[in-house]
Amino acid sequence: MVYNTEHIPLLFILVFLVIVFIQSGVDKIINWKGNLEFTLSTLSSKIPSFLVVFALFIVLLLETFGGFASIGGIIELIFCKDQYLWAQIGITSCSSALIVLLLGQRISQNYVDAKTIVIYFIVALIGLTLVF
Amino acid sequence: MLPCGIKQLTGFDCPGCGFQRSLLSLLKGDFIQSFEYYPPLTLIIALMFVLILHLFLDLKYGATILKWLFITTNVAVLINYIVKMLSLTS
Repeated sequence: MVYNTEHIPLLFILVFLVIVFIQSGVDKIINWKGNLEFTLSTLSSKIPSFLVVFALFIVLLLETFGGFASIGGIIELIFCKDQYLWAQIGITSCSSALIVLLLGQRISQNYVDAKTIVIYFIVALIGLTLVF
Repeated sequence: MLPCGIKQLTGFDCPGCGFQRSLLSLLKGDFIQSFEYYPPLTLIIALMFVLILHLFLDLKYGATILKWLFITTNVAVLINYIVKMLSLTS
């Protein structure tokens, strides 16, 4: 099989997103109570608690869906010629999850932790420019 | 779109073929097209929804609902496959 080497940067970005988001999603599922308590303790003074639960659930859905869609993107990139459909879906979903997380950190006025999300967001943005 | 391994190897549709097209048209918001591609998708999404709900909220009759929903989904997938194969061959 002749492999098209121009897709290697996108392949690494997808692997990065899979590692980050599936770990995060699985951790949120296994330790849901601990995650919820931590998020509520930082955010409940700013916005109502049912909104915090809803936002955390949305983040969980976007993260796991984005992670598994990125796995699909890797398979598609290897076995199909020049098709990015699942890579597009995966990277867009992961970027949306990062935006929601950033919003949460900004609302809780935790500016130092908001900076650390930008590290992941830069990688996702490079992926977005490669895919669209 | 991801290729189906069974279809590539044997040339026949597998019981899950159509799922991806259906999911993508659902993401685009085209419900009718989505149902035409793969009718059991509605049941599968309902199954996932009840599963997540049961996981987080621990419903009273969650296990029973899940069991019957699982059986219904399987029967629907089988009926869909048989109808599809009959319509393709006839």
